[in-house]
Amino acid sequence: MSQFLSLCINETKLSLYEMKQYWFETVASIMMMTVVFLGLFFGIKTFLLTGDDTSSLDGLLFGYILWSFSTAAYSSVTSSIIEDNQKGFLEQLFLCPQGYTRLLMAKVFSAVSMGFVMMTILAYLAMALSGNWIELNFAKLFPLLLLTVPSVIGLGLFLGGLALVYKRVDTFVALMMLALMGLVAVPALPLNWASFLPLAPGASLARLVVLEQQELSFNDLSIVAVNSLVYLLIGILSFKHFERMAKRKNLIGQY
Amino acid sequence: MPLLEVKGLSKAYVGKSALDNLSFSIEPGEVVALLGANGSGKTTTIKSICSLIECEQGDIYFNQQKIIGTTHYLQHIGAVLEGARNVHWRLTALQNAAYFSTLRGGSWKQCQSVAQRLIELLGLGPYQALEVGKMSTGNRQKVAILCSLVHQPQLLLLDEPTIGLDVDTVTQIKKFILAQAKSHDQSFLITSHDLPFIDEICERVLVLHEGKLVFDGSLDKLKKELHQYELVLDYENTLDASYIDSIKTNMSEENVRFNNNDQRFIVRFNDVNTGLRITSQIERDEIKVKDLEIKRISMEKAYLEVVKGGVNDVPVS
Repeated sequence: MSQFLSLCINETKLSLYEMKQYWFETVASIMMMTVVFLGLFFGIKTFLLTGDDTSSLDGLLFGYILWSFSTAAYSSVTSSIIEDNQKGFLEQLFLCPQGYTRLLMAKVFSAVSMGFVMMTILAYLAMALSGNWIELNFAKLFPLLLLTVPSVIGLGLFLGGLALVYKRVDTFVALMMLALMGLVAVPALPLNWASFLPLAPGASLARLVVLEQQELSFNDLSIVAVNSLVYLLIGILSFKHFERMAKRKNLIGQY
Repeated sequence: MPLLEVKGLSKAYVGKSALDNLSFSIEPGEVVALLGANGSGKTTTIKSICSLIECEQGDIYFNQQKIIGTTHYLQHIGAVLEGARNVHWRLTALQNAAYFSTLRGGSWKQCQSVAQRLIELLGLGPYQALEVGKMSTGNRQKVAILCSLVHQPQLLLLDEPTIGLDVDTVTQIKKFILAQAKSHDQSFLITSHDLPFIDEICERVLVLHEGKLVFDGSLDKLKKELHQYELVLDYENTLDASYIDSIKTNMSEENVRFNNNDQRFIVRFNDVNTGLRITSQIERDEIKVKDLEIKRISMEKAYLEVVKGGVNDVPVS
């Protein structure tokens, strides 16, 4: 565990180095996210909402946070494989003694943690700037998202495996980003057909508990946990399969 | 006890053999060259040792442990596989070293002093605050070597480490490799087309041809078996077979190869006196000489002969 933690810290340091080096992109993305938050607070409230009913605003903001969070987790897997391959050091990452899959997990953990911290800060900043304070319990939200995120990582690993073998999978990656919007919005609790989709039950549970202040039910929690575990396992197994295929065909590191 | 043992490794791509029952071993502190033409299987061998390629047959042992299907042994291995592309170009040398040492399972606290020592040894001191992308090709290559060594591996695999480097940088890297092998007992397996580089640092050579090991021995042995000198003589008269036979019978050295055609006479030999004896006889017999050259055979030529025909059947061309 300590070795895994050490990998996570290493990846976080790398991200911070890169954020500093690519400062223009870092500033631009922070500004964009702030503008999106402010847009949600001001624009929607001004043009779409009536009276003091801010529940729609809360829901929209919450949906945006969930989507951004799941996108960060998902793309941290796919972009790592695609970008590191393009940069030329994917082979070096495969030389990690803990195995490449664990390294990917460390990258995801780092990206998700940083994404969450960033999003929390920006959300509060936007609320302070706009003067519209909404009820979002981030302390409750974060553990629920951590329980949900493995299903998205599973999706990322599946597409990452495809990228390892077929190299260009941009269309699938972009399609999946759009699909995540739907998965965040679809009601998947109590148990229904949508409960079998990745991310959907976790997003629903987070909405119920954090936004609608409902009590955490063991059944719902179990559905989310099983959903996450199954999709993560499918992701890991399919990634291992594609990794073996890439190793057989000498495709690792080739672009 | 060998540090690395490759036993009967075979690999094929789309029905074409890339490695054919390849076996060899490397001892601690040994600097070994892996030579061969393009497509002979050098990179496939290196990548197999790194578990980046899965072979159909054979086993690889590291410190007596079977490594196929495992990754823990990788903490004792360093590799430069794509030269300068192996590092983050937007980070400095030290930042890269910190990242890769932790990635390999090392503790940066312990590796930091090693990194500083290596930076000085590699002559990167004045450039350590620069991002790698702003460095020269040679310095980027040195950063790649630094990153592969900072966690103090027992075996370093260098795939074409001198590509695109100037003479001074190659000399520095040569000195560095020899010092590391001697003082830190680190083993090196190096593929290169830069034969003078190999000539100066490797005590042992493996030659691959179409995935097969065609030579495994010391560089001196290879050179001895392949002749050290070549005499090329262009003449005006016609030299018939009986005259060549008379020269041959006059030789005290056994391992001499002759080739005579189209007014050119080529002899390969190991004893420099053989060359003197031949030129004396030619002078004595008043053969009209247009041109004469006696030279040491380069490592490149010696290795090409192994690839083309095997040590004991070298056609003189």
